[in-house]
Amino acid sequence: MRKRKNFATVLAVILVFTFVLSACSPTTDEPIENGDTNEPTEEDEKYSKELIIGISNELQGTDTQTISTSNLAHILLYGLLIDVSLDGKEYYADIVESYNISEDGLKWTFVLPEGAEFSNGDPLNAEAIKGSFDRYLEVGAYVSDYANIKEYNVLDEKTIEFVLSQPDPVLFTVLSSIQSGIVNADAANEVGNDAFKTKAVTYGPAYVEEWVQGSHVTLKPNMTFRDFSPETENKGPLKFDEIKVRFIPDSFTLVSELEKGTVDIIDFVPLESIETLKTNSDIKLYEAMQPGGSLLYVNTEDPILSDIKVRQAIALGINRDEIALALDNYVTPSYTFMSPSVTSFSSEKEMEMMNKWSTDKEKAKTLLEEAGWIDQNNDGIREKDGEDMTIELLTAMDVFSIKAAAPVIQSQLKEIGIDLQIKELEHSYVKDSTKDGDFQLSTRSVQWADPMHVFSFTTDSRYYANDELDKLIDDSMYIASLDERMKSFEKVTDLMYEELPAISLFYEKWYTASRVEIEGLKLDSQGNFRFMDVKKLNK
Amino acid sequence: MIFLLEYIIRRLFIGVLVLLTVSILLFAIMHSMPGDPIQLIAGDRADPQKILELRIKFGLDKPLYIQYFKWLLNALRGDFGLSILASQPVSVLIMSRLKYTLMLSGIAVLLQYILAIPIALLAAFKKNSLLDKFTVYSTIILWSTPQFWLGILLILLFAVKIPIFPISGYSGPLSLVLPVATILLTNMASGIRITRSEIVDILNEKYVITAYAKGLKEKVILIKHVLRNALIPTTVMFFLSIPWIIGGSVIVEKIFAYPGMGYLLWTSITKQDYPVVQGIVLIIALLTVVSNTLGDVVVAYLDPRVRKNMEGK
Amino acid sequence: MNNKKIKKLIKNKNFLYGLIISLTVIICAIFADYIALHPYDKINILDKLQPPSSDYYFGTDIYGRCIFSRIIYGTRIVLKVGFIVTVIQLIIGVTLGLLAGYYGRKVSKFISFITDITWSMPAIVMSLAIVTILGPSLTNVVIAIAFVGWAQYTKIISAKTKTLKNLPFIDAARVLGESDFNIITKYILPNTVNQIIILVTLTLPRAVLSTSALGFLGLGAQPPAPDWGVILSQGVNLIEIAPWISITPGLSLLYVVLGYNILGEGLKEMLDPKFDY
Repeated sequence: MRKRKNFATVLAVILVFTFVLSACSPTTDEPIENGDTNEPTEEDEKYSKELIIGISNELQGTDTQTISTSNLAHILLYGLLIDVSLDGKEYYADIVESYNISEDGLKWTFVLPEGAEFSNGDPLNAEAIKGSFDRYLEVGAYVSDYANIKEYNVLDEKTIEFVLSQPDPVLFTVLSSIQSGIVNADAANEVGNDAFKTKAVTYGPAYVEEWVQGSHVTLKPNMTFRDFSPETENKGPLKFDEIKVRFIPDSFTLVSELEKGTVDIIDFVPLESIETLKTNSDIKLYEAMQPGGSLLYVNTEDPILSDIKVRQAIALGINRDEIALALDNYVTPSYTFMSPSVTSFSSEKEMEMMNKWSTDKEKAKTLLEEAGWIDQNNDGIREKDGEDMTIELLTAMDVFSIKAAAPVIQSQLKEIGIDLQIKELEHSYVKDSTKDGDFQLSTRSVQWADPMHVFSFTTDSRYYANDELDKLIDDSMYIASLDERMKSFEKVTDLMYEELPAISLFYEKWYTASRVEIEGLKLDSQGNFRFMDVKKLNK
Repeated sequence: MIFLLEYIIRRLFIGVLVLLTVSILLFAIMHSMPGDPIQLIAGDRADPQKILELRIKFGLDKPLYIQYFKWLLNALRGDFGLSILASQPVSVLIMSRLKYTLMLSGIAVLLQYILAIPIALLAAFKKNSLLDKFTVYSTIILWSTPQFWLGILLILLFAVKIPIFPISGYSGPLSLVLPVATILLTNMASGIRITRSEIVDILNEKYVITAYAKGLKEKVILIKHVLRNALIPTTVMFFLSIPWIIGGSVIVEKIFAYPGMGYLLWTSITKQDYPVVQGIVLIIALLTVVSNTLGDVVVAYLDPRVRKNMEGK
Repeated sequence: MNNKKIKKLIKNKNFLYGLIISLTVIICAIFADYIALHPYDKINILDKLQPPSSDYYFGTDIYGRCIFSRIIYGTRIVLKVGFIVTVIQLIIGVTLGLLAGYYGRKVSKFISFITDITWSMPAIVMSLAIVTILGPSLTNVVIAIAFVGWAQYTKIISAKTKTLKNLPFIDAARVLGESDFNIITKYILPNTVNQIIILVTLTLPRAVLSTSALGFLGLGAQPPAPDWGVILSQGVNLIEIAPWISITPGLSLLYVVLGYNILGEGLKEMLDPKFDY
């Protein structure tokens, strides 16, 4: 019949078309490029000039001063005055030739190199640095971080001096984080802040050439960029002609691309894939410690939780080792609210608190009985005055470790007779509810290499106020001597355990991964990549 | 023809009302959602002063009804405001992703209905044969498969194990094959089944059987007649599917890291980027109105009974 | 329905198989406590990621929970989803459909106006909005899906009502002075039952799939609820070392959705072959 013949023809055409297309498909070991002039260069045939990075969240913007979250792309875009050493113990010059801090800690002097230029050709001089920091004070979100700098003095073309009103050890952390990256304030004023956000003019290892929304950012190396850290071999520029940072929101897809070799580096490895990648000889895993930690906030105003015995019972009912085991040691138990990569971390205090507060289910049960919570009807859940011991836990659906730990905690608390109800929400919503006191239990993960923000909830929350604790935290922040500072924060930890407005849970290991063909990729103690020495072997 | 024009104008007028109502409803819903997009972009440790500045920048400090009217007035001039997350004009954001959505969902929907006709014809003519049963059951099975599962299976099979296609992103027409296939395979069933059952019905009508028996020339008329009637429900469903082009591809876009509007809609809602959501939903509403009207017109053209019905209205 | 009709129904293979499948789901849901091997939320870290065995028919997940038990208990969620969605869509959709079909003109236009609005609101917007406003839970996600989907009931029921309302016996009732309300509920509604039954069996699978899709995106059943879509999404990254975690819920979803679809096909063939959806 004619209809059948027509159909058959159409089918045949489609089949032929498909075969032709697949025959023309690129071979699998070429990175996906849009018809680029990809001539293999005569020199350096050993190394590839193109790098493809996969990240799980799109950039908020390319202007570091107007975003609240940064990622790998920003590390490539921004050079910093100083940067933390790989082991986290000191701070080296990064884009400056040298820097010097006066004896009294009040004068910080930076010397810039010759010949350095922004991506648009403007010279990187002291005026430009001043301009960048002035602009931050105008448009940046964390202005108070720089509150102790009262003057930015341009001493000469290449020298700038920060004059402080008081010694500020936190400034090390501040200046070595991406928010202090150098932007070209003049260029920003020319195009306006909004346009600048799409295509910022920066001084860093690379600059933005193109941003295709929802797909990728294409970066090109800044050929005048110099890195002065003693820990970097390649002093500049980057060894690549082009770096493509692709946004791949689904973790399965991200890992698959890495395994296939169409992406060279990824910024996130989901827990379940760690084992698979560990045994894959084409993949290298990198482990870093989260600077900060995850905590369980406890609303001391809540009727059930206002009883200190209940809070202590919860602290003892949680088995952090079991959580770590469940999460394949992706997390490490923490008893002092911070990870070892946070300044002022005290390993002695950590040991002490671990001995006092590691899980003790029997003691937890006794405490609950003493507090009047008894399981009379034998349904596994305790009651008091006819009410079940049901407590709601707000947990962030988009922070992996917290989300994965919640069901384990739920099961552990069930063993001591508490019915924990989990509510998964966006982390900003959890944070807001906690601040407003609109919660019973909530979990939060804090990322900052200084304890000030791990403990900041007491100062900006509305559910817990303790003047003694607040004062102690404030005083501790600006102690110049590292030893004394550590001891002061040990006292803070003690006070925290007395009241238990929050319970320390764990800190994460951050896993990132790359192909084995990637050489020279280093991860510092805060989990940030160092790209300058990266080279990519041709397969 | 004149009454048809009248009909279209009336429908479009109602359409404008629909657009207005949808935008107001959406506005109310978005602003009732708990959470604060300004907090999100300002960050964990932001200064309250900064937060206030940002709120003013995006007009969020004004009362809701003023915010809505400002938005409406600007929207009429084509200005949909700034995205809170990206500080970019919403219209620019949408335009940059529109073409990807058209390529993905547009092609998927087109193929869905273009392929439905020959497949349905084949199945209907060989009703109850093995081929027919196979077609019906396999489309139902595909339809019953969750899209994200099928997408991942396709990636595993045809992008990883047998590396024919790229896994994700857009880097050329080959990137479209797997995502389009995912949407196509899971949605094909309804189009095929309706068309097939319509054809079966027509084939059973007496005069058709007679024409069949009479020989070739009648067969030609028969086929023309069959096709014409089979097209009707297919066309209706095609036009009904158009508004879903944007919202229905969220999952596929996420899995395939495809830069379309579906995933933009999703991230904008979860992060409460009001202007972007308002802009995209307005477009969806517009699509609904236009495609519904177009669909009715085309069906009226194809089916004289419906035309009479419309006249009666 | 009389004996002859029942016999005819059973002879229809689609209806029969669909019914059997649906019944197995219902039985699993009711007798889950007896069929399942372990409690669905029992965490057993040492047994994590076990392949299927005699202890764990479908293996275990990353917390050591028995997947077989989770799937069995999950049937309760599947039925709950189906029930809530159906009830909401029935009440709103059928009512509006009857009204639109019976009263015609202005009422019908107004109702189609509302339907257009519903179509224009993408399901994900509605679902996310409702979930964040009401709080994340399976029930709220299901309510969101139901609110978006009732329009299909309205269309079908109003079309059927239109064909019914001008039939002679309806005219007779009107002449006899029966109120509109009585006519609609006593005469028209019963004659739309066939369509309603078919619609229910067809929208159920759609609702189950939408819920699992939203579960994949992170909305829906909260831990430790054994929602099949959530189990599937947890298993996706492990597909190479623990494929059973994603295969079993995927096949289960397929089984149930297929069952309802076939049931619907069978009913359609028996009750109303000219059904147009």
